Amino acid sequence: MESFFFNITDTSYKVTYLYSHKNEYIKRVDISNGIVFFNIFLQSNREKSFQINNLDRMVMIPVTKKGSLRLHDNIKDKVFEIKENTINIFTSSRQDLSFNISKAQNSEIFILFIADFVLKRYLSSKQTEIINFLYQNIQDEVSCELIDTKPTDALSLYIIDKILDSKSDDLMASIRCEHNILEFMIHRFNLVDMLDEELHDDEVCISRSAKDILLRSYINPPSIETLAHLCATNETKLKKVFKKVYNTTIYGYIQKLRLEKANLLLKEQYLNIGEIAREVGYKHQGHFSKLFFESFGVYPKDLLKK
Amino acid sequence: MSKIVLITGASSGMGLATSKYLANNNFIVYATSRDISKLSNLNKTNIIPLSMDITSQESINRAVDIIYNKHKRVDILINNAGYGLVSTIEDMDEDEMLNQYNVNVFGLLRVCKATIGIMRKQNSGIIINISSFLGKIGLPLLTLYNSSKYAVEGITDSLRHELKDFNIRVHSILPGFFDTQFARDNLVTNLQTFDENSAYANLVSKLTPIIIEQINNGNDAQEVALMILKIINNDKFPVRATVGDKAKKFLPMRKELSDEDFERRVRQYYNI
Repeated sequence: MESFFFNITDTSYKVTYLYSHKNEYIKRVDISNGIVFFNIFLQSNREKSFQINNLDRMVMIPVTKKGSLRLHDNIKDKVFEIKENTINIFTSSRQDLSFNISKAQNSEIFILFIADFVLKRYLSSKQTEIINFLYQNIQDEVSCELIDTKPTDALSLYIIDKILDSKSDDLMASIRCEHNILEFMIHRFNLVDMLDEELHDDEVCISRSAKDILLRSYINPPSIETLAHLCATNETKLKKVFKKVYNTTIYGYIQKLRLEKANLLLKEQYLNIGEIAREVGYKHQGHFSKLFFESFGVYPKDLLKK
Repeated sequence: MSKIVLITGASSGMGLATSKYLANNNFIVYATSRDISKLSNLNKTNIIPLSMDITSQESINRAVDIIYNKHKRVDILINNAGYGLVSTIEDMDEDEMLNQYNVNVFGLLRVCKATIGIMRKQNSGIIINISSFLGKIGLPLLTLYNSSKYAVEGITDSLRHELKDFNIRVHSILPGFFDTQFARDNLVTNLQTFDENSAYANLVSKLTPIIIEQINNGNDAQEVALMILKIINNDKFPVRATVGDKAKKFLPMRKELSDEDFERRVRQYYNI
């Protein structure tokens, strides 16, 4: 019986080269029996491809730093174009997939594969959490489904660099690497908005319009009173509903949007921290850095250094 | 001093390969079988053919007495004798049912019964049960063989507790299908199940070719012999082990996946 996973028998952190030529490589690393990542680095301006054909329930997270790839689901004959600079979450419970890395001067691609039994360890009692959603999704028959796409952010790249920088002969390599992968999963899953299906229509409606307004205006948001007015409700109800739907306060949500935007700006590397702070609506750089650290566990300056 | 090995089902396949390999490695091997004519022309001084029918406690006791009288000890018992019945439960008859357990389960227990006392008194011993990967995974048409091997797995686990204070180790080896005479001679088929008008004809026609293919590309019996020597030499050896590269993922998968997910893979793999 074959499986994409379960390649670890006596050692963990097992490195296999699927392709290697001069500086180029497609490297597969098995961290444990349920966590595998591919580290792809190509420079020769040629297409490269590999197949995955198995019966595994898994979540796949391709991250393109440079270059792009085409994912062909041969079961449903469906193509997913994975553009440069994106982080994508796919699910699959039975796969016949071709990964075609497009012709490019430089391709730097990271793909994380997580088996369902790894997610199972971390299921929440709250069914609406993303991790529960992903786990449930792959308990059904799904050949390949795109759940979410986001632009690549600075923090993700920072964590991925930590994952890639670890070496098989590091002290506690396997647990360190798995720790970083879990950190990456938490951060990336956090960026997916999950809505509780049991909410009332008017609750969803109010919170959606509030969110839309905030998405446009978080740099200089309206007062809560004005926001409530714009959503055709009152302040008390807006606060209550918003908290119920998004599991945070309105101020907390604004802050989340600001920090997420800052995280994307940091990746671009053309603004300094003071400029980024102002760009997302903070007057004081120090205050911004402190909030960023509290939220992401790393200071903005560390992400800019790279 | 050479260690004394008692092995059952030694006239062919894994039993024969193991007997020869251990004899070459300086063990004294009592190679037992119902029919020892195949063993008589081996001409190896370290292999002593001994007639033993594991369905008879008397026959077993007689053979064990011969060994004990000569050496005053039995160091290693390898329970290898067994066969596989291929039959649906609907078609099986009473004798087929009783025989399968009489050989694969009760036969093994009888040989244990005859040798454990000796091992206990000498305060050392190793019992190695040749089980099957079917001791941890179910397949249709093999319900009786399957369950007899699940029983062997249970026997291994129980005896490990029961005998730990007497310095007796118990292990299971779970081979896949083997390219040996076992595959050809030791599969007993029920005629009704294999009748083309059987209600199970569809299942038979799907499963049989895959099993035959697996047998033809199966592991070499020598691999079991190598593993047995490893178990003997390493007192920290795990309780159970699979044999061959193909089976490597099997035990971790069985542990990690849910019953339903494991079943899903088995169905895909065996086309059932």
